[in-house]
Amino acid sequence: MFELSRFTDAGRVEFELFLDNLRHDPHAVAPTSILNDPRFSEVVAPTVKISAQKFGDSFQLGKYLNDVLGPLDARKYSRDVDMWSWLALLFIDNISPQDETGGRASRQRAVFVLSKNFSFRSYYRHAIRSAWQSYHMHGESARVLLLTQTDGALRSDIAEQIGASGDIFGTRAIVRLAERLWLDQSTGLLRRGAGAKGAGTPRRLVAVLKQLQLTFDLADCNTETLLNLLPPEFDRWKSV
Amino acid sequence: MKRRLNHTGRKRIEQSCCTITLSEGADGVQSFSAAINLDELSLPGSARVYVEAYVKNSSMRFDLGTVSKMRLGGTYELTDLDIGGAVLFRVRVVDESQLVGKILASANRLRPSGDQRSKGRRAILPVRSTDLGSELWKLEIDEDDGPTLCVSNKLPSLKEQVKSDPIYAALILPHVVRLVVTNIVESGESAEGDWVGDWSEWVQAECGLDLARMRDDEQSAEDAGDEVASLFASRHDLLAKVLTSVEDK
Repeated sequence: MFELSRFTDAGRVEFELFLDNLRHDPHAVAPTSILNDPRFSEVVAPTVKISAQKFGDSFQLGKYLNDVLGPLDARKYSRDVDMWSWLALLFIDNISPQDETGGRASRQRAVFVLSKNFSFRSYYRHAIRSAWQSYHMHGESARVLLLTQTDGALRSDIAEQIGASGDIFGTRAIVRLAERLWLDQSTGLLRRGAGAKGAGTPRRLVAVLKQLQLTFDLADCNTETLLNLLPPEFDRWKSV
Repeated sequence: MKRRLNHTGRKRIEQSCCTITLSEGADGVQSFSAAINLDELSLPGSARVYVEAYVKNSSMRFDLGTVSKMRLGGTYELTDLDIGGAVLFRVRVVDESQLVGKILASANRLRPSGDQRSKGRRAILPVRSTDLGSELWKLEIDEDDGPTLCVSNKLPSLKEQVKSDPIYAALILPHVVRLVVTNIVESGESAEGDWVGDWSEWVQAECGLDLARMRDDEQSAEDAGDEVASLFASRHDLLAKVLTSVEDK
């Protein structure tokens, strides 16, 4: 068990050095010793215990984080970039698990590290914070945002498209609509073809919703009403 | 080519009609009060008025009553917004007589009064010195805050040189203008009173071009960017300045 912490300046540098090394050397050793070394990490107050563990998917991770971080003020830690980076190292095996040779895939920097200015192009890609925030805002409906259909994939196209637009992501009715369209309620998994390209896809849904948002107040819409506003290209997903 | 048409006659609420004051309590919780004047928009009295406060994708929505009975003067606590980011506001007037509320008027990306950027004192292209690895410059466009020209902090004088050295300016600025204009035309945004409006005004004054009309004429975003960048370079004689600068050196 660890005490939830955030990186100090030295810790941030050490973690970023590891990420740099990982680009060239898949066997670079994750510096997990810095997680509880006061030179590199400082404990977040009030103290919260958290354990490094491997989850089956990001939904389970998001749910766990919401349980653990519950006692803290979400408004304050939501933008604590050094805490989220610390958590990215703690949960490194969820983001970039070791393969049979012990090597790890190098991933986009934004998956591990939040930029200080919360660049809108990348902040939603942080693997740990996005898992926490999706569950925090959407509860069980976050499953549609956090499950993937490809082994080793961190994020589905549903999450990419919806997450990239703050007001779309923040509208509960829209996430419930995505759940209605692309989550198979009987299996709890994403429906086949949910990440495909072309008509009736997540990319198209966001484009359509952005147009609808100009005319309609979608915030208080229920799912069925929203569903009826969609053009025919989404018909194939409407049947439950 | 994306086009943004206003079939429903949705009205624009100008920033000058909304005064939003942000304050912070002893407990660190921010709150706001709003003074909104919709008198000139001839909106139905029964339409509902909502104010949404947001920081990135954390947001809160407040019902201020109806146009004819707006609850102004109240203070609203922003208990669910992220701390540490700039708070922006949307105002929406909604006709809720149908199954789906129809937006009759709206204002987006409103900044609270006291925010320097709400008073038009912000440069349209702030320059920031930062770590860019091996790159010399990069343009970042935030959908709320607009474009920022980031230059490498490994060349300490670069930030000043971009502004004062004709060679740096000629190499960087036309392409920055091209990227920003392309982004604006491509996104179809046309809000006045925010960075898109500021840039549209600048393009109009600098090049005599109307970005809204370029969109409506179905000019491609890339063509619009090229045209403005070319006019900008020509208007400032960038090539001649570079040649003179090279000769002087």
